Amino acid sequence: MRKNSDIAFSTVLVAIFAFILFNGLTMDVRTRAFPVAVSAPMLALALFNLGRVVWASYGRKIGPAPELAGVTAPSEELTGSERLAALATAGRVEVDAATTRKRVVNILLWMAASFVLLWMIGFREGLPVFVFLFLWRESKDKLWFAVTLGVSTWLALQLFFGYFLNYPWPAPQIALWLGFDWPGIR
Amino acid sequence: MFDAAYDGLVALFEPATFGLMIVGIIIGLVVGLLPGLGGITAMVLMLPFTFDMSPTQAFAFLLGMFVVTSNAGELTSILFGVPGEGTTAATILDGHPMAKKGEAGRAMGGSLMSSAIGAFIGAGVLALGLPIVRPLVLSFGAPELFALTILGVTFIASLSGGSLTRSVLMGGLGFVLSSVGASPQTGVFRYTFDIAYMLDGIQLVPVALGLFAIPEIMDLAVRRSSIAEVDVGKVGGVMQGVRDTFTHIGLVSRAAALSAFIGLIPGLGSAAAQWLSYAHAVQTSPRKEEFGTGRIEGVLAPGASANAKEGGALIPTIAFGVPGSLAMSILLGAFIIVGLVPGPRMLSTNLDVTFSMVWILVIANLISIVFLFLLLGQLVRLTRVKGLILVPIILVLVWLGAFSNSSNFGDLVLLVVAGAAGYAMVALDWPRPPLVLGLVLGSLADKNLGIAHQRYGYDFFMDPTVMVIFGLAIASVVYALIQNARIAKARAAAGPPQGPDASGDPSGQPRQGAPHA
Repeated sequence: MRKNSDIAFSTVLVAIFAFILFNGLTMDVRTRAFPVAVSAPMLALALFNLGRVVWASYGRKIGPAPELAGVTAPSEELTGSERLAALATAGRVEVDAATTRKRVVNILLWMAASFVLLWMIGFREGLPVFVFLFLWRESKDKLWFAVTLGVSTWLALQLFFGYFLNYPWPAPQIALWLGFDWPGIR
Repeated sequence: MFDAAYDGLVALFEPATFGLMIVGIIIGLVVGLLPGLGGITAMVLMLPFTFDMSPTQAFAFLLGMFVVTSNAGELTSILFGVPGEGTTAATILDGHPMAKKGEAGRAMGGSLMSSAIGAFIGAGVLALGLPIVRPLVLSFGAPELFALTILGVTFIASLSGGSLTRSVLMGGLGFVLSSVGASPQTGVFRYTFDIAYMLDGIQLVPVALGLFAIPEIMDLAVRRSSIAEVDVGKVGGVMQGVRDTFTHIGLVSRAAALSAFIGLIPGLGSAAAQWLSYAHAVQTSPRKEEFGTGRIEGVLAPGASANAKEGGALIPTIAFGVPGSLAMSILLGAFIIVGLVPGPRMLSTNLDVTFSMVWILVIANLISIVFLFLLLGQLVRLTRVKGLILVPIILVLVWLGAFSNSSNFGDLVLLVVAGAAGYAMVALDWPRPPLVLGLVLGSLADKNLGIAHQRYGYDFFMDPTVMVIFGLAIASVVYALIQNARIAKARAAAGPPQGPDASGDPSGQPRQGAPHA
């Protein structure tokens, strides 16, 4: 599946340069000069690169990619995100493909959760909650440790970022929806 | 002149002034260690506190704080693979692989020592350059600046690590992304999709954090091991890093001088200085294919650049009131707050204040480096902490760092998009440094090309200075191509390739990991 990922990435590049070029052509000369001057040769190069990738993938038989040396599962058995994820960790600590896929999905979900938390209840409250939950549930650390680090995060955000650096905390979305003032938000 | 230098030194050691510099240094160290929260943010936040200060006190506080953020930011880049500053991303490329190999101490020792030498060179350039640099700076207009950005772009060839097509494409992508937002020529908005956040263009800090930090966080979460995969011992080679600095003193001096020169030219920017220093290290190394896997030269060159560029950037700020970088434009605000007018008087009646800035560059760096050397043992231990404990903490700092860029949730969305792109690029072996370099230099090229064309038409290409710089650019590309060919030949001589790589490289050679890592 590596070849499909490579083709997809190269196609995205072609699409970006094509969009910049053809959208730029609708602008006046001075506005479009730079992006068009750059994107025209880049589009040609991106098409050339796409052709090469497609040719290398389908035009002739290829062996296993050398980057997969550190992955335990045979490269031919990997598909989609397994291969993509495995490539990122190849050559170092050996993690089997199924575990890799599970962990990649896990961390993506945790990242999404942290974003939702900081967006909904704010940085100062959401991020400490995220730290606590991650350490407790995902990292399987002891409860006292997770609580300590969560509280430390909250203190650091309050004292250093809030009080000392005067960090521009945004209003939590939940406060905007419910229409009430959130303490400490100007 | 010597009297002024002495007066500047004495003024700096007055208890209140020295105390304020220490406070600034401590703030700078903390802010510098936090990913994304840069010295510029800290300066903006602390600027209002300078209203009641004397000029020397204000500069001791602000400049002392600013110069040490780079030192601390380098360490964050090495330890966590997360840019401590928007301008220290280049250090990640070799510094973080060294940390993974258990050589964090060596990398940090080298970074700090080269940074100290860079600061001395920058301060020297500042002290010596002030009286003589005026004609040079004033002779650089838009055509020369455009030519210099093109020269910078050609360093992409050095960052290619063998896959020139991919590097050029990534550099081109950085260029077109830099054209998002208002056109510097006409003010017309381009490629903004009517999204308010996009009106200001694609921001460097969220992009750098996303490209480099998110893949590292995912890597830590997948591997679940510590950052260093081997035991680092006690402090793990700090003195080796210091010795490395002197072994490569030529490279360190050249990188510092190059950065001081880039800093000297208003508008070329701090981030460009570090990337170009890194590219210079790659370009001049006989083992360029090993860059990106943990070469100490890849740490020393950006380290030397960190503070040398500030010495250069101070020259036009002080002498002409023309800020050499964004940080210097904020410092210019401090000039006005404390009642000083940048210009010729800074070289005559206020020469002692000018020299106090030279001393601040040197002394603040020395103090911060002593602080950081004392802390290195503890910092190195962080590379042995379980990865899953570091993941939420780094992620919190990355969110905070990205949001502080413009206090807009758009920064976080851009961070996520850049993170996804960065992860795909790591997985598919596309180089990330050229994208960042393209983004940094693109807007400068766009602006200066427009001004030069408007003012001189296409005749500016015939300007002797421009032609010399273009000549250097062509020589740089040819040199990089010859080096690449030599590496390919050496590989071919070493043994047959294992199979054609999936990138479609017809040669079938596996790509070198090098600066893409």
